[in-house]
Amino acid sequence: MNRILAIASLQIRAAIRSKLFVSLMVILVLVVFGFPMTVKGDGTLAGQIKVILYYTLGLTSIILGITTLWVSSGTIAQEIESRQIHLIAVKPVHYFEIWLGKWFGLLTINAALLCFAGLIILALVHWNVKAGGKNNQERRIVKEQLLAGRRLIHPRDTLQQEVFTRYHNMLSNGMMSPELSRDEAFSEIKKQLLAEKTVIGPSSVKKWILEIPSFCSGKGYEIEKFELKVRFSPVRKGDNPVFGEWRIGTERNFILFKMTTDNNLDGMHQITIPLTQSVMDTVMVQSGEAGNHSNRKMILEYRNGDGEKSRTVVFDRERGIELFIRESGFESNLVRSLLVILCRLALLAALGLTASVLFSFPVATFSAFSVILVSIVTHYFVVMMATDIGSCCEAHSQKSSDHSFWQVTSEKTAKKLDTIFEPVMRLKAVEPFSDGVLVPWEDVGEAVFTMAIIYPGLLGIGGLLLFRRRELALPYT
Amino acid sequence: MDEQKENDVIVEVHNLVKVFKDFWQRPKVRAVDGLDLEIRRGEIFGLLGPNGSGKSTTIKILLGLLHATSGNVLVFNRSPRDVEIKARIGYLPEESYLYNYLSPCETLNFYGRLFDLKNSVRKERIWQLLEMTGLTHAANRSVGEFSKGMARRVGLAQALINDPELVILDEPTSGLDPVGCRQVKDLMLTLAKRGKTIILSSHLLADVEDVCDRIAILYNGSIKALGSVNQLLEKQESVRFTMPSLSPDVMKKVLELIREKIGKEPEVDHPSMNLEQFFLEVVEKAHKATSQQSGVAPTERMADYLLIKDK
Repeated sequence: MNRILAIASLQIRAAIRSKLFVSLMVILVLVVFGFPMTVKGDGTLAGQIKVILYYTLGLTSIILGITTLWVSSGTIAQEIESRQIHLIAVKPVHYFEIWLGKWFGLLTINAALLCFAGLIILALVHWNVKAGGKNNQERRIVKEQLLAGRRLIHPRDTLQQEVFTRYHNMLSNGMMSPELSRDEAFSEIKKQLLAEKTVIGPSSVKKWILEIPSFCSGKGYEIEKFELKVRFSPVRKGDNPVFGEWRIGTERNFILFKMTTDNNLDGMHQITIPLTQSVMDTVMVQSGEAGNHSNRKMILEYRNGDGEKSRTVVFDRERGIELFIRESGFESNLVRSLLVILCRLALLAALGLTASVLFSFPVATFSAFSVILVSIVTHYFVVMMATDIGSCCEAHSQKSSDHSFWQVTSEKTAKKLDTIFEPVMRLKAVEPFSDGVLVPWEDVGEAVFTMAIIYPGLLGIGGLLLFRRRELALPYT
Repeated sequence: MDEQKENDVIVEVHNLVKVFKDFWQRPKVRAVDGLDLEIRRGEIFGLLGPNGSGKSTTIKILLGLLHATSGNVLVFNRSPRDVEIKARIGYLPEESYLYNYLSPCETLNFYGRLFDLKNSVRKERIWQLLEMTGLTHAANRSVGEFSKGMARRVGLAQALINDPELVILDEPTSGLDPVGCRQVKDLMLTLAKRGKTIILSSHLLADVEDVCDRIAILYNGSIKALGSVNQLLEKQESVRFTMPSLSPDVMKKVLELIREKIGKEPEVDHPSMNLEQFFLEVVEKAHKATSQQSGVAPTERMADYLLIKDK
């Protein structure tokens, strides 16, 4: 351990003495203070704070990410080139100790810089709220919705199960085209079901079940901590408004609340459905009566008006129905977000270090950046394939067999590759934090496990196996 | 028997071959070609040879920095890539390869930590080494500001921080002034007396001649001459007498006698002090006359822990 700590402290000392640390601090100060000034919000205090949170944390994450990858991919490679590694490799030091020491060093530097950035963000936000919040209502919205960690509850997702059931039903009824493979059939059914779930025509009804987590149990819950938001838009432009009725209830007492909405807008529309004390009391008490407090269910229903009064609407797949429950304070949520970012930086450091034990400096950097680029492109390609709602709203009659060989191969390759990248790409910190959405401890734990232990571990083991085979004193190194 | 062998033979090399390959793994250069070598405990062994003769490659294989293409290499009876044996080795490379942003004190502390030395032992050794290398007054300056000679002294100190049993020195006197050269040579002799084994690679033949017990001369990757310095350099066909000055009469008689016996004129001259000795005397006098100096402070003090004889 002493050797690992010695190498880590050398790495930290190098960062401090080479002015890298100070330069990054100056850049972070400039970015955190300067960049939000150049971007305008929607004129409200909430808009301004959202911009500050999103850009400051986002840019901090990007700047530290690029620097980490750059520095880590150079650190061992440059020591091999300058032959300083000769004096370390002839000491009783295992190669994994060199790798781990460098990694811990980079992690410590990043942790210090993230703390610094976090403190600036905190100060900046509080100063802005104080200076810009003359309107108490605005200030209250900011404090309740943005400067908080609100747990986000989506309706229960049963899509996979429904796809499977429908596939077997169609198969047993002989309704499945023999030309379709199992994967193709699943994909088609999924698109069909997504359309059914998100598109609601005139006179149709759609129901969502929202499960309220157990931490809200007991009499001590506060109604102001809850907020229910819906997002939808009409499918086509037209003269009719979008007219419908919203109902909230439980399984036993179905109609607790009714509200009609009459929206004359053509784009995406967002409304907040008020949750009254009596509604929430019933939801919390009745649904928990059966003794299963962890399974509180709130049922939300939308009844679209008939064809003369309303139009077909489509609900945003990801953010169509959202129930927010305030769970933590702003500072706590900031710490969690920073921890997730730190885990991501730990993974980038591991990637860079592994590249640096395999290749010389510019090649190592290029390789590490290429892996990142491939992972981002692949992930978004796969996400786009999965959320191809536009094509499922229309009659999606094009058969998969019409796809070219290359298209099929690239889709399959992308999906396979994304199984590696997905666990990392899924964990987000900046977006939820800037929306006032809670970054749960479960996500932080998953980030630590995935991005700071498993993936770096695998990268490290792979890199070290090759590092051991490398001759450190070859003339061309 | 094996234990005895381990005690005696520190480095064992049999039929060592090292071929450098290009990117496509095609053989490019045969740097070492069938080298056989045994280096025993307590000896100072000199590796000599022109540039490209395979000295540095051999040293780097002994240190595990390069892998042998074929042949057997054993250091302390184990593979040179075995991490455990590295705790018993000290290495000074041909260039110092130090971290410019560290001071000598920090440099020694860093390498000391790599040997897992206790904090108190490390601190004690660091100051002893700094004193021995004459760098006490520059202990907290960055190595980047140092002259080549001063950096070399830091390099030498780091090679000794672990009190090694085997010291491998690649051009140790390069960049050092004559005082430093003499100190390094004295250090090698002292270490050898204390049971340490030293491998010295150098182009400075006078240095090698001064300190080495045995030498190997390499050319094109193989050994062309191997043996003790005296054995290799001794001229059996001639004899030299050294005595106090003789009176002209006695001298005449002696020369006549020798001329009569060997049949030709013998060579007679006055033995002279070598330049190194003369230089050291001048500097010592100057040092005694001056109270301040900006460079390295000459010292004859050896680090105490290096004086403890190996069991």
